[in-house]
Amino acid sequence: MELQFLNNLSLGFGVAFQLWNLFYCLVGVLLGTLIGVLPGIGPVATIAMLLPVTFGLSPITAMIMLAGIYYGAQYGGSTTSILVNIPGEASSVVTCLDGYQMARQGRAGPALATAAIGSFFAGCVSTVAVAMFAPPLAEVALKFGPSEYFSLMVFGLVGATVLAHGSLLKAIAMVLLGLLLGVVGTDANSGVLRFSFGIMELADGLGFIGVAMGLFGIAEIVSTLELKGEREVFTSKLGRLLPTKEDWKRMWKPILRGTAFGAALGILPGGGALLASFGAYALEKKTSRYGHEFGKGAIEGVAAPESANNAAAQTSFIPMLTLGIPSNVVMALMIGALMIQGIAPGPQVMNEMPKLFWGLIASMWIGNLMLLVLNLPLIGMWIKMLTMPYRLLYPSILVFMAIGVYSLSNSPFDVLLMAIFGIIGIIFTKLECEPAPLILGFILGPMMEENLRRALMISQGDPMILFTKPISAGFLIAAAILLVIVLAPAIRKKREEVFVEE
Amino acid sequence: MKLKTVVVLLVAAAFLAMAAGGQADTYPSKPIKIIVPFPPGNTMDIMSRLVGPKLTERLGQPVIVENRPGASGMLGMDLVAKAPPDGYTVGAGQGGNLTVLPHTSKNCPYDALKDFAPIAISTTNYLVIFTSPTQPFKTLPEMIAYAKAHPGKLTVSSNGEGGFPHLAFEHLRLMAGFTYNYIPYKGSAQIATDVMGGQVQVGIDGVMAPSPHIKSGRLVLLAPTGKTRAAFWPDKPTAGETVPGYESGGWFGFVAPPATPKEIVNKLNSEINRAMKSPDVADKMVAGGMAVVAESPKYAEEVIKSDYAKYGKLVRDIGFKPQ
Repeated sequence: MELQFLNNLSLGFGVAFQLWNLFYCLVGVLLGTLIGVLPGIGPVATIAMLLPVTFGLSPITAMIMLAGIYYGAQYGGSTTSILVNIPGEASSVVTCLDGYQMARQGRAGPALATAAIGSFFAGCVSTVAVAMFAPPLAEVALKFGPSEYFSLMVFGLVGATVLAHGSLLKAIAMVLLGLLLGVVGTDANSGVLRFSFGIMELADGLGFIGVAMGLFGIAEIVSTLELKGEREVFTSKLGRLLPTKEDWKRMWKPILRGTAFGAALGILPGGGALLASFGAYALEKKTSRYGHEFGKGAIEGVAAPESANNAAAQTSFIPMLTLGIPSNVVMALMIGALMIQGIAPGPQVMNEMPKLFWGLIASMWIGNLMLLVLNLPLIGMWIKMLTMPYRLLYPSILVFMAIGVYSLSNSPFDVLLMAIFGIIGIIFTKLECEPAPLILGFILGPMMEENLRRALMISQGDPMILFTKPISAGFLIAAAILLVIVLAPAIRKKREEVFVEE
Repeated sequence: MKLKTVVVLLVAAAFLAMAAGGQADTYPSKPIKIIVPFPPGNTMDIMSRLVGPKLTERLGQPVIVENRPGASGMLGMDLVAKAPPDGYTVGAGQGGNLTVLPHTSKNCPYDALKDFAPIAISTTNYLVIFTSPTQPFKTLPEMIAYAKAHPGKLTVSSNGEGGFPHLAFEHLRLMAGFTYNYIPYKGSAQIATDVMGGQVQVGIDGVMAPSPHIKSGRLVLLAPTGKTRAAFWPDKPTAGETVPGYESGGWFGFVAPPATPKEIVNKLNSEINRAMKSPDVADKMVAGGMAVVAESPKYAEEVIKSDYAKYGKLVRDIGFKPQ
């Protein structure tokens, strides 16, 4: 068994170290980093555009490049979160919370380095996890039906209240507002249009990227414009590039926990990576000695979610490679690319084409190393970007955001949506309401509704299905315990101490 | 002095070229856009991206695939319907958004019969009805018997209420006389996963997504819905062999805005047909479980007309209320 595993890995590295494959791996991670850094332009659009190019490559080379783009984008996505408070995608929303605060305190270097190191570590560990446990883990994903997903998300949503570092009431209000916004669009069960006001573009709901770019990006840019004096402080204190000894001491445990969290949740189709980054952050905030620093630039708040989302990005390959089940849109595109090559993804891939399977896994480790080598020296360059005069930096960010949002479905409507949510975001900033819980509610709300209603349809209206299934019941009990902890009067008092600013 | 003359000549030439561009015999003189009303990666998208480069080669102008997803494809199709009829906008259409949605959606913004000039039907496919090996039935007759023995208990999943596969199963229910519990889903992958995991008992979907799982044995094929037996599974009886007269198939093709000049439609038709027939495109389509068609625009028009009538009648027969 052990020997078999080593044989497999050496076969994989043999494939991945072929010059041609190394080259495309580098192309993939470079492209990925680039699109990750450009706000709004995500891996989905890039991979879609590159699909025709891959037709001419061998299947393994094509997969290595596409995979590189995907996890490269995860790396790059954190850069804009930290530097300018604009999350590239859902899973880097949490990184904004503390990463951006660190940047404002002149600690952008250590924040970026932490993200890169955490991601690298998580990438290495989860590559091994994919290699060792892929087949048995894939079976776990099959155990998750509608009721299990619903309960998992209830748990996630309750945990979200911990995210806020302002008042609990505001956090709950923002989650609810997010749930409400998530209702917009076609009801999956009946096909009825909700809150679309006759606008066809709203039939599929509000686009996540547009909403997030508006709430975080535009709101941030506008509110920075208001602070004429303080901007100087932000740019003049560049500080050191690498983490201090103290930083290392504080980040290694969160990286370990984040990796474990992410690797576990990544195998679940749907919001795995997102829940992992939110969950890892919440866990650190609850358990850390430095809990009071969260939201004000705690290094743990960068290390944990960044490790978690990268680990999840890697393990999300497990259901794709072993079952042929895509856990997100990118994986669906990669399955499309495989099918064009005449390979039907599924459990037979591992046995019939071990070179493809193990070569891809080995290339992920190599790709992660390339990313680290690529990104550490780049940190200095990214930080220099902050010294760029704002009259140049911000308009260019706005243009990139507009291009990115437009490229999602080539529709000007999404750009308008971003602008509208920008205004809403500015109002939130004035009211001191956090947009992060809103985003979580917005994304989880529709999935919760869909799964709850599906679970109830399967049970023909009997809600007990949520409690009779063991995994589902487990999550609900955990959520109830968490709720008690948050609400119990004695503990609550303590919570106010911890969470209310000033 | 000399340079000036060259510039003047160049400008004049450019103007001439632009003027000539308006004429049909010089078509195409600028890039052509294929609007795919779905996100990248879906069957229609892959087909368009395979055909695009072939057209570029033959027509001498770039042919660009543009994804305009939204509202089950209605958004993109509406853009095609309203685009200038000059042959520079082509829509990737399929049975679902041209012949089913107009009957099942209250918000369908176009008239499928009047708002498009059909160019070609390029591939046909069929649906598959499948289950997991752990279910008590292994064939379609056994599934029908199970459904009759447990009225309203059999859980069946497909993409979206009122979508093409849902209607196809409703049709089967009507003809075979059983009842079931319908569970709508939002994606092929999720359906395959939940049928495999036993969360729902039966799935009905296009052949492309479930076929690898059927081949690996994680899913059991109950029946394909095509007119003839599927090339992938020649031993498997079609649904029509169990329920005589039953057949359900989809198609993928291309349409242009109405009033696009006949010559342009014909030119696109012959070039698309040529591209579809080329081995590197055709093989990939066949590998995905589809059959390549290369017929005239007239044929495409007739298929749309007859399918439109067929699904209109079915929607009324099953008493489906448009949403």
